[in-house]
Amino acid sequence: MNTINISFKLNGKDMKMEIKPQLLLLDMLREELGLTGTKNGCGEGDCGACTVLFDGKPICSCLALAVNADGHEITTVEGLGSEEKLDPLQQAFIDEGAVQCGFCTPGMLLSAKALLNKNNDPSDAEIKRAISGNLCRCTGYTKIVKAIKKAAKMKEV
Amino acid sequence: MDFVYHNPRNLEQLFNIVNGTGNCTLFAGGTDLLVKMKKKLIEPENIVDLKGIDDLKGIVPEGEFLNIKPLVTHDEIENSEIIKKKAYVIAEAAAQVGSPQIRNMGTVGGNIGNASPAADIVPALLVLDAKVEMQSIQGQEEKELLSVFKGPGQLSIKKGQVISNIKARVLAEQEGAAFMKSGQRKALAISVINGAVWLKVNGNKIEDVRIALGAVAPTPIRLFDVEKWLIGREANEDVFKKAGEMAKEVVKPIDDIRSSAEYRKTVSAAIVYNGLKTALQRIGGLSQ
Amino acid sequence: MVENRVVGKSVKKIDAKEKVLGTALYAADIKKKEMLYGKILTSNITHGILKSINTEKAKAVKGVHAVLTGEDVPGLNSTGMIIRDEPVIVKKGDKIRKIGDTLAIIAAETEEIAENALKMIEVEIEELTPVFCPYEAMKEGAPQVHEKGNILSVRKIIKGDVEDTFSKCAAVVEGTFKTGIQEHAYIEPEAGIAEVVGDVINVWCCTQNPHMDRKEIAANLNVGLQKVRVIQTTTGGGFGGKLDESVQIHLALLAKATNKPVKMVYSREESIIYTGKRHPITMKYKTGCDAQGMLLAMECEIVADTGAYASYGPGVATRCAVHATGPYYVPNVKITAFCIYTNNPRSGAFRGFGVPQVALAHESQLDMLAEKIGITPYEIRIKNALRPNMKTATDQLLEQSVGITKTLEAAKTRAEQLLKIRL
Ligand SMILES: Cc1cc2nc3c(=O)[nH]c(=O)nc-3n(C[C@H](O)[C@H](O)[C@H](O)COP(=O)(O)OP(=O)(O)OC[C@H]3O[C@@H](n4cnc5c(N)ncnc54)[C@H](O)[C@@H]3O)c2cc1C
Ligand code: FES
Ligand code: FES
Repeated sequence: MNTINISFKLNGKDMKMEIKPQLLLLDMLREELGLTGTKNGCGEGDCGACTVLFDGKPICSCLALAVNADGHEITTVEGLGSEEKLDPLQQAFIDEGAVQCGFCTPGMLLSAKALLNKNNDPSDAEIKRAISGNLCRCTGYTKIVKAIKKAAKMKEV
Repeated sequence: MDFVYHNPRNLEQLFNIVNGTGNCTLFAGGTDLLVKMKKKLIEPENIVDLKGIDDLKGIVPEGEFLNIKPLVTHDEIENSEIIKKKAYVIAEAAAQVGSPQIRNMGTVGGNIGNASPAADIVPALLVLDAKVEMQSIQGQEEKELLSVFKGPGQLSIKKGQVISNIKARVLAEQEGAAFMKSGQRKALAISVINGAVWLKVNGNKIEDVRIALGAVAPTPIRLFDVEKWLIGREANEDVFKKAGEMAKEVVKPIDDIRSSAEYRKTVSAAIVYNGLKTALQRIGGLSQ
Repeated sequence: MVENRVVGKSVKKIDAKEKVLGTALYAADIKKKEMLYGKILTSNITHGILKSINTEKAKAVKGVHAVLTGEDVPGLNSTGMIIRDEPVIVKKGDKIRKIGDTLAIIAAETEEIAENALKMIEVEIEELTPVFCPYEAMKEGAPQVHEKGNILSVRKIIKGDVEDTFSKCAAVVEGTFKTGIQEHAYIEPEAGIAEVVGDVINVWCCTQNPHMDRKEIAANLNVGLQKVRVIQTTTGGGFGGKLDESVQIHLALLAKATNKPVKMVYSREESIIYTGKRHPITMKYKTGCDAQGMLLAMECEIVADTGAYASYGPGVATRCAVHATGPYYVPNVKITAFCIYTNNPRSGAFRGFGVPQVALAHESQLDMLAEKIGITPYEIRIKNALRPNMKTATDQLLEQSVGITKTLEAAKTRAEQLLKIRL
């Protein structure tokens, strides 16, 4: 089977991989790189659990070929913050009770991150639109919207 | 999934691949293709990724047309200053496609190429009198956008051809347009029905009009009869209402998993009426 | 007074940090050395008899480690939370009762191999006439989903005399209300991984019910409870849907048969086809009140379609009966709740357990009565709301607090603010 060499930035680090062209970005992250923070909820672009940032913009990694990462920058939830230093969004999600089962959380955080990167004072409507590709069956969204609003006002924690 | 992956860097390489290789499937954002491939509805032998070809990217104004290259994403359309100014109805449609993720991946070329009767960008393009340029090793061919749809999922495109450009007429003075969509929910919903309207007035007379609807027939359609009836009439609520009623009679939608024919007819009328009204308001012709 | 740390406080979720970091391990995130992948062959017909099943070709596929059929289940080959009426794998000669019944399970080195091998299994099914409408299923001569008949359970609550009371009511309304079948759609599809260590079988899975899983696995593997460990992984939503067995027993069987760790992750489509739903329920109601709007009598017949297997159906139907009158005092009641087998998808537990369904009926009846006697929807509710020292339809004396009047008042205030109206 043919393989392709790709190089890209993953969570700020340079990466080189030799992959099969059929490999999905989601599977490369989860299976080849062990970054299981990115989830598979539907595999068809409907739920947003697989959301990663592609050059800063949210995409569904379940509908992207891994080869398309070549020359680009990918951010997953693992690149958002660390045990010692959480991203303000992560802290706000904890504080506001925006996390229940947590399966939607990584994708939700990344969609929110993309929003806050270009808009540091979003309205409720802007937040709702930014997370409209991420389904959450637990929280009812209210606390998620609150958390994102709060994070927008927080300094780095 | 089992396919050979091709990654041409320019049109020449692309044409060499599509002419020298067996069955080729052009691959843009992949949001339609990968869903079908995962469900094994299609099993392409050769995937030809277009994303490495810079000639297929960008938005370039040219006289009274805008050249929108096929790899332009919905997100790029929605945020393009020139489109927001000169062809805002396309931005309005793009803003209502899927979700932020899908808008960042899906392309206008793919939206046409997929030939779905419910494609959201298509009605907006149709009312801007859009043409599609198809390029192949033999050269270039320009077609009316409406003429490229043969049926659900069926595009009139020759082997070896690629959609290389979409030309949309810019909005001029005394012209207004609107796009409307009705889905089962507000986000991430394929249109149950969608439509767009373009209107040109002279004083309070309708000088010209184009109306397009999606998901009411096997392909997106133009309502030529309604348009003909409207031309020369006064641009007012009553006339618009009548046009909506006429639309309801001329469309022949079907019952399917997303909706009933009856509902689609009713909403057709509403889209035509509201579309005309909004387009006129945008020209500045109708208060409120 | 001792400071309370939990009640009435917002408590931070204990595992929220792992979840925001993406390090929390859900079942699909776990990997083990030399792990195999499990897949299921399921029926695509609703009612039939499995005449024959031939797995030889599938077994011969390179990379396939085990193909198991009903014959290979050493224990009961039967599962169910209230009654065991669902086969773990339908055995040759036995009945298929819904789309998604398991016919065979496979463990292979990759998911792709497993999927391809599934297609090599040859099955012969004799189709039987299915029944999809619970009312049809209740009739004499209807296709029998289970040998003991289609009426799984009947619950009755009778108090006072409704017939006599209706004749004295100032207003009586009647209506039939139906709710649809509903999928839980937790964002995490079912997943698990099983591994035999020594003579103990370990199963890590997303579940709401690890103790029950353990019991079911032991009974179907025919081993003692002490030989089974079930470890609940971080679970991506359940809402009742992860109370029933999904991957658990299949994984245990495959791990045992192959002596290797076996992992199974449902696709969204598989999750929807294989697992339980919210009961679709039809409710025929008749309710009467006096001239002031005080409820006097309620009669209802509730029919819950539990689909092919009981799951929590009898429990759900019981809760429908118990809550048929809603949070209102009704002195005379005649309630009958049926739970019926059909060849529809299995319905089971789902947030509210039958109570949301009957709410549609009793709340609509109250609106209808209010309109008939000319009082507001709010008035009729607050008048009839249960309060401490009152009795429910089942004659349970409510000794402690009852929240409904407070809730109604708060809802009224809020609605008046938001809608800028007076209720
Ligand atoms: C979750 C989800 C939600 C969606 N919501 C919407 C929605 O609301 N509205 C809507 O309209 N669509 C929606 N879609 C469909 C899809 O995203 C759009 O149609 C999108 O524009 C397709 O573009 P693409 O680049 O991803 O196409 P691809 O999948 O790459 O291609 C689609 C088809 O077009 C052909 N093609 C692509 N480029 C060219 C070209 N240059 N020349 C010739 N043929 C070409 C391909 O061969 C293929 O047949 C949705 C999809 C998903 C998964
Ligand atoms: S897993 Fe990609 S959108 Fe659901
Ligand atoms: S927290 Fe469970 S899906 Fe969002």
